[in-house]
Formats: sequence, C-alpha cells, structure tokens
Amino acid sequence: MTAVAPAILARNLSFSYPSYDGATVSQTVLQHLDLQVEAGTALTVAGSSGSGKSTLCHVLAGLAPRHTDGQLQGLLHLAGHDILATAPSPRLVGLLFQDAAVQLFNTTAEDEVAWGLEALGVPSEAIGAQVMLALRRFGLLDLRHRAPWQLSGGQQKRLALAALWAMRPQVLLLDEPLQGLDPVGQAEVLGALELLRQEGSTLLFTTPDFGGVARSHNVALLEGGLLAAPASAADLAAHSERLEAAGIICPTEAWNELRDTRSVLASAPALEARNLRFRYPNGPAVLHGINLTIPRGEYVALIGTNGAGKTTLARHFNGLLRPTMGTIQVMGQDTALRSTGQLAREVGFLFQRPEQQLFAATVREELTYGLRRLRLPDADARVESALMLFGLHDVAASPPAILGYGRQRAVTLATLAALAPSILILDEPTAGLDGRGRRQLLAWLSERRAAGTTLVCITHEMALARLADRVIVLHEGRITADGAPSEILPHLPWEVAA
Amino acid sequence: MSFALDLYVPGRSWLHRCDPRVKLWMMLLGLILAFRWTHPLSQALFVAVLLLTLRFAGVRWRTLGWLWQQMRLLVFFMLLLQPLFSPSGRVLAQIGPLTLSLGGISSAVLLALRVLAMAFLTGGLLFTTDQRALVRAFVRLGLPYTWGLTLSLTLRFLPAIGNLATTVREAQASRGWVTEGNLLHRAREYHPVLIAIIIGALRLSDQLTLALAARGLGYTEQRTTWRELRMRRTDWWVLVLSTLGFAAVWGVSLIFPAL
Amino acid sequence: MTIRRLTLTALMAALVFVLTVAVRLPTAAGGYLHLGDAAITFSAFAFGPWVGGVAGALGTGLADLYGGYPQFALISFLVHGLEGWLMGWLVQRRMKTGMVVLAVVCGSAIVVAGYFIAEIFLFGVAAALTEVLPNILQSVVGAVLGVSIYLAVKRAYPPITRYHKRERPE
Ligand SMILES: Nc1ncnc2c1ncn2[C@@H]1O[C@H](COP(=O)(O)OP(=O)(O)OP(=O)(O)O)[C@@H](O)[C@H]1O
Ligand SMILES: Nc1ncnc2c1ncn2[C@@H]1O[C@H](COP(=O)(O)OP(=O)(O)OP(=O)(O)O)[C@@H](O)[C@H]1O
Ligand SMILES: [Mg+2]
Ligand SMILES: [Mg+2]
Repeated sequence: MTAVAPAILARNLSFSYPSYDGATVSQTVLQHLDLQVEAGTALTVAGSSGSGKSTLCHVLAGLAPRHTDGQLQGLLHLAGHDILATAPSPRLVGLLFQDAAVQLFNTTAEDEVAWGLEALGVPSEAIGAQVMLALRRFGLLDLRHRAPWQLSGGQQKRLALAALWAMRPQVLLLDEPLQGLDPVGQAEVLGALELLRQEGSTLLFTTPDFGGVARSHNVALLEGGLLAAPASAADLAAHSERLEAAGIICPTEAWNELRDTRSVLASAPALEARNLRFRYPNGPAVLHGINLTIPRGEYVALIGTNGAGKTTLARHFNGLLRPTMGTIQVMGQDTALRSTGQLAREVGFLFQRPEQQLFAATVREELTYGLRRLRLPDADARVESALMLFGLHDVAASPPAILGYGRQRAVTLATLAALAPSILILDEPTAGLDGRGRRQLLAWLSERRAAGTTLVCITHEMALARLADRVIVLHEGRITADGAPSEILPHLPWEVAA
Repeated sequence: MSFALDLYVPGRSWLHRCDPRVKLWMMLLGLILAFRWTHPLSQALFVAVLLLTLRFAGVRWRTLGWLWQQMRLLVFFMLLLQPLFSPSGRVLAQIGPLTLSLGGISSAVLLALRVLAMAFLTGGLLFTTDQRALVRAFVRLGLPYTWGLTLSLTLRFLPAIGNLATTVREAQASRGWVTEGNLLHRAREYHPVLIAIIIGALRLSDQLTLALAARGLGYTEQRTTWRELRMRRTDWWVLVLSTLGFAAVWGVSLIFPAL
Repeated sequence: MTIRRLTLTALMAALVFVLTVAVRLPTAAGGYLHLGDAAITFSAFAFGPWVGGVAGALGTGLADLYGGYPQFALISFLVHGLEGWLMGWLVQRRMKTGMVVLAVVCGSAIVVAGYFIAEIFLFGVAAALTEVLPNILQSVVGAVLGVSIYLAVKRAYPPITRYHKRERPE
C-alpha cells in the first residue's frame, strides 16, 4: 500500500483572534482541532453563526493568520505540504468565499479566470484555451464579456468556481456555497459542485443549517471551537435534538408557534398602492401598474423569481423610491410629501444586505441610534429586550462590524425590534441565519403578529410564505397571483425547483 | 450617481485601435504644443484641429458635447474675469480700479482655448481607450505591476463604493436619518453615514486582501500576461508620423515666435 | 508593497473618489462642498503617509478626470497627494493633539496654496482667486471631519489599528 498523504491533515490546531479593547483575553475560535480528510472525498462542516466556519476555511487556505489578525498553533498539512511554514500555492488549495462577489475583482468574466493563470506564470499562449475551457465547464461561455457585478448571485458563484477550477487546486474549500441564492441559483451551483466531486477533487463545505449540501456527505459539527468527529448525514439527521443544540436546525415548535398565532386584523389599510408604475432613471421599467391594499395587522409574503421587482416594490413603501406614476399611501396618508426619515416612524425596513448599515462602536449603541433619532420613549428597556430577543447580550459591548455574518444580521433585526414600528418590511430575513437565528426570528415574528403589526416578508423560502395570511406573487413587475397560501403555493411552477 | 465611471466609448476607428502607448505619446506632444502657442489664433487653430481629429476618430458629437458641458462654466468665468486681471495693450474701458484692455482680452481667450485643448487631449485618450488597456500600457512603460493593479482595483471598485454609499444613506434614512439645518449640523448628521461607508470599505479591503492572496498574487516573479499589448505596423507609422508632424509644427513656430 | 497595503490604497482611493464626486454637502450660499478631503485625512491618519498620499492623488485625480474637470486632474493629483502624504507623515499614526492640529493646518494650507499657484500658472490669476475661499472652507471642514471620523472608526472597527503590523512583509 502506497502511503498517500491525506488531502487535509490538522492536529491540535488552535486559532484565536486578538482582543481589541486590550483588557480581555484573546478570543479563541478554534480549539485543539483534529481533522483528516482523505484525497478525493468530501466533508461538510456544519456550525452555527459565529462558530468559526469562515475562520476555519481561512486557516486551511493558509490565509489566516498570514493575512489576518490572530494566532495559530498546531500542525496543518495539505497533501503533505506544511501550510504553517510556507504559503500554499493556488494549485494546492482554492477557497470559494462566503460572499463570492468580493472574490471577483476583474472587469470581465474572462479576465477573472485568466488572472489566476497569469499569477501562476502560465505561458501567455496557453492561457486562452484554459480560460475558455473553464468558462465552458461552468456554463459561462456566453457571459465571458460581462462584468462580474452584472451577473446574478448564482452566476457569480459559478464564475468564482471557474476561476478556482482553472488553477486545478487539489483541495477546494467552499464557504457556505449556497448562501443567499434563490432555488435556481442553488441548483446551478450544486450541479457545478457535483461535477467537481465526480472528478475526484477533495471538497470541504461549510454550512450554518442542515439543508442542501449537508445532506449528501459526511458531516462534522463545529461547536464552541471544537470539531466533532465526522458522522454520516443520515445518522446526524436522526439526532435532531443534537443539531438543535448546536444551533444548526430550527425546532419545529418555532414554526408551529408562528403558524398558530392569529393575526390581529383591522379593516383600515396599512399600505396601499394605486396604479403604481416605476422605471429606474436611465434604466428599465420595473413595475407596471401595481394595485395593492394591505390591511393593518396582516402578514403578507411577497414572493417571485430573481429580478421580479420585489425589492423595488418594497422600497416604495418607505419612500426610498418614488413612483413614476400612481400613488402610495402609508397608514392612510400619501407618502409623496414625507421623507424616508419621517416615514421611519411607522415603517421599519430590513435591507437585503443589512450588514452595510452598521457603524456604531457597540451593538448597544447601534440599537439605540434609531430610537434616539426618532425620540422614542423608554429607550433602555426596548434595547434590553431586543438584545434578549436575538441572544445578543454576550456581544452587546462589542463593535457590530467585527461580528460574523449571521450575528450582524441578528443585530440589524434587533434594531428593528427595538423600534417596534407598526409596519415591518423584511427583505429576505432568513438569508444567512443559522437554526438558532431562525428560531429567534420566528419568535419575534409571532410576537409581532399577535401584537397587530403589519408584516410584509419578501422571501425565497416557501416554508415562511406558507405561514402567511396572504401570498402575493410578483412576476416581471406585475402581480400574477394574490390569495391565501393554500390556494397559491401549490400552483407555482418554479416552486418545484425549491 | 452623477459621474461617468468609464468614459470609454467602444469603437473601431484608427484612434481606437491605436496602441495606448502611442496615444499617450501623442497626448504628451499635444500638451507641449498647447503650452507653446501664445497667440489666441494659433491656439484656436490647434483646438479646431484637435476637434476635427477626434471627430474623424469616431468620437461622437454627443460625447464631445458632454465634455463641453463640463468645461463651459470655467471657460465662461475665465473669459469674464481674466481680462480684468492682466491689463496690457490698448485700454478699452476703465471702470474704477478695473481696466478692460485689448491685451487682457487676448490673454483670456488664449488661456480659455488652452484649457479646452487640454480637455480635448485627455478626452481623446479616455474616450477611445479601454481602461484595462491603459493600465496595461502603463505597466509596459515601466510601472510596477502592483501599482498597475492598485490603479485597476481603484477603477474596479468605484461602482462598488458608490453603491455602498447609496445603500448606507438609504439604510440610515430608514432608521430616521434626516439632513436639515445649518452646515455644521449637517456635517454632524453625515457622521454615521460616513463611518458606515468607511467600515464597509475597510471590510472590502480585508476580503480583497484574502482574495488576492488566495489567487496567488506574488506567487511567482514571472507573471505572464494573457493579452499582451503589441505594436502593430500601423502603430509604428502613427508614432513616426505624429512625431515628425510635431517636429515640423515646432519648427514652424520657431520661425514665427509671435504665434 | 504588501497585499494589504495594495488593497487599502486602492479602496481608499476609490473612497476619496466617491466622497469627492458623490457626497456633496449643499451650503447655504447654493454651492456645495465635497468630502474628498475628509477621506484623504482619514486615510493619512489611519494608514500613514504612503497610503494617504497615493489615495489622495489617485482618488481626486480620477474624480476630476471622470467627474468632468479634466483640466484640474493633474493639479489635484499633485496637491492632494502631497496633502495626504504630509498629514500622514506628521501624525505617524500617533494622535497627539498638537501634531493633529499641525497636520490639519498644514494639509489645508497645501491644498489652498497648491491650487492657487498651479491655477495662476495654468488659468491665470482670475480663476485662481475665485477658488481660494471655497478651498479654505472645504479643506478645513474636510480635515476636521476626517479626524473625527478616524476617532469614531477606530472605536467601531478596531482591527484598523493593527493593519500596519501586517503591512510589513513576513
Ligand atoms: N477579524 C476578526 N477579528 C476578531 N474577531 C473576529 C474576526 N473575524 C471573525 N471574528 C470572530 O470570530 C468568530 C468566528 O467568526 P467566523 O466568521 O469564522 O464565523 P462563521 O462560523 O463563519 O459565521 P457565519 O455563519 O455568520 O458566517 C466570531 O465570533 C467573530 O466575531
Ligand atoms: N438601481 C437600479 N437601477 C437600474 N435597474 C435596477 C436597479 N435595481 C434593480 N434594477 C432592476 O430592476 C429589476 C427588479 O429588481 P429587484 O431588485 O426589485 O428584484 P427582486 O425581485 O428584489 O430580485 P431578488 O430576488 O434578486 O432580490 C431587475 O431587473 C434589476 O436588474
Ligand atoms: Mg462565515
Ligand atoms: Mg430583492
């Protein structure tokens, strides 16, 4: 038997970030971690938000602590190479970032793929053929002259994969490859990954929940800095209480609670759109005559494919966009004369990428900001209960900007919870949340529903839409279906893909 | 956002297909000439020639009109104010301490035309050259690759930071942010917005550092280039002809120093 | 140049560009102030003379080229480059009050004087004079805002204080 070195071999690996306020000890993220992945196999690392999945990927790719803060101890070999001693070559290991958009830094898709080959010193004449091969492989040949930021989320991930694959790394690390993708995009990326697996690449996935990628491989749980021994996905699925405790799946009670909560409906309308048409300046016409009345207290799910105009419609309700034609009324008053800042008193809005709004020095200050701006009473009590609701007490004094992706999302949800406006518009609230985050979100939604808050939830997740009072389907800027979930959802053609 | 992130207008004219290094050289010669002319008439002729060259190189009137739009306020002010500051030659009018003179007017016209010439020269380069090719040209001319990369990354991330600024402003507005009151008050209101934008930019730089390292920046000294710039035969011709033309024009200007 | 410094420079230059062109504070008189100087001051204070200088030069130079003032591009490139470099060099990432004040004053002085001299040369005295007052207001407001932003960002994003440790090669 020839001794093939394992693709990934980690022994007693510990990683910690420095503490930034000087007083407390440094924050240990990975503790005495042992991991062995044989060449040609796949492993999923599942862990809740902030459990250190991205950090693990950076360590394995030789990026942390070489290009980040922090300290690393232990032993780490990739295919027999000591990663701690010398930086690994791109031929050895490739990493698909959690946010693939930032990984694409060239101005066209083909340049993106070529860049890595140039960096490796591949002869100029040979680059063209390899670029085209990689693009064809991931179905991007027709898009090769497009700028990366003009691609959809799923296409961006595939382009990042193509750029990695062109360098033929022995080990591929994939940090939450399905995050933020709609069903079609997910299918695209999963298809591309399946091909890689069949070719014999060594793959390591991470995931904050137990759907999608986790179902098909061995899974190792990352919890409290400790990595459990890998087990088969089927075995783990049988132990749902274990996964719940690790914060990876959301208990069914939370879903049931939201389902069983009755909405407190009033007849007066909360939001009203009359013959709403909208065209982006120098851009496409997106909304073509929307008529819509949402009574106070109703829970509405707004669904539709990518680019249908959901976000565009929602942004009219708090004045971020102004109708090209038609009117919008909020709580019976026309919005034309009120600024977004004034509408904020009634309408709370969760952005699709909320982490960009964070600015304060502590989570607590971040929550206080909106309350102070709107001069709402008993700010302290509101902040404390919002912190409690989203389990943010342990990070209340940390700067929100250094938290992981999932925790930042929780912070932005908490800022809305503290404001408790009478209308809530949430643009894809579940994206990037782990099981625990989902449970907190569902509990909050139940509470708001019982309190008579009008809820508008834009979502790709049918489980969430199913619990609404009413589902509105938007397609190419028109409402194509509107009614109770039980009437609408079974008849949606694209839901089959989900 | 009210700015053009890329002035390049794709086309197939001879100027478009010219090697960017040749275009840089021509721009340099043009700038030297713009400072050589000291008479409004010769400068006007020069501007006219530039304008026609650009037009025949396939730059559309619309694009040139845009450039004029950007320039006209400055040109207007120069024509209005400059005569009053540099009186010389025959005096046309005297209003209090202000003197309107023929020499003053002529120098104002000269300066305004010179500014226009400079704008058309830069325009000629930027309207007809792909940004990527321009950066590659700088690298070929001796700019270290990492500096060239810095420049292309700056250009690449302009829209990203622009969008970030918009998103942050909107996000703050929907938490009750309003701008009103006097300047000082407004500057304070902008504080959280600016902080959020900067933090966003810093996080982007964190991520980008990792992305560049992961893709092998600095992995080898022998970096290759996929689409290397090549001087074609026409490029050499344009280079030689433009240099000869410059020498000839310069010679003429030596014979007539008043121009 | 390390990767960290490369990306920082590029993104700070982009930031200077955007704040120069996009974020405009309307003044009571009907004009506007841009915030490019705030971004330059920030980068110089946070990341030292070289990042500050290059970001200032590239950011404002490009902003002039693409924002419709090509005739100013070269001046801005030189003046704001020098401004950023000098501020960074004076402060050296240590926020001593005296030095900070000196840096703000010197930075603003360079901007005002630099534009004035260059504009006399290029466009004549008239155009140069009309620019003095707005330039003073803009660079002083910008620099002061930049300092206060730096202090706030240091608290909200502590990793920034450690960047320079990683700028040096291993
Ligand atoms: N640069 C940093 N400095 C200090 N602490 C950090 C830094 N990056 C991450 N952390 C902390 O390390 C922990 C792990 O972060 P990491 O991003 O690896 O989590 P994650 O499992 O990927 O989470 P998510 O599912 O939200 O992406 C978090 O508590 C986070 O706050
Ligand atoms: N700022 C903009 N300028 C021009 N066009 C835009 C802008 N924002 C969105 N669009 C276009 O408007 C259409 C609708 O976009 P919108 O963001 O509302 O879709 P969505 O339904 O929210 O999609 P997703 O599920 O991907 O979030 C898309 O075709 C998009 O390209
Ligand atoms: Mg992560
Ligand atoms: Mg959307």
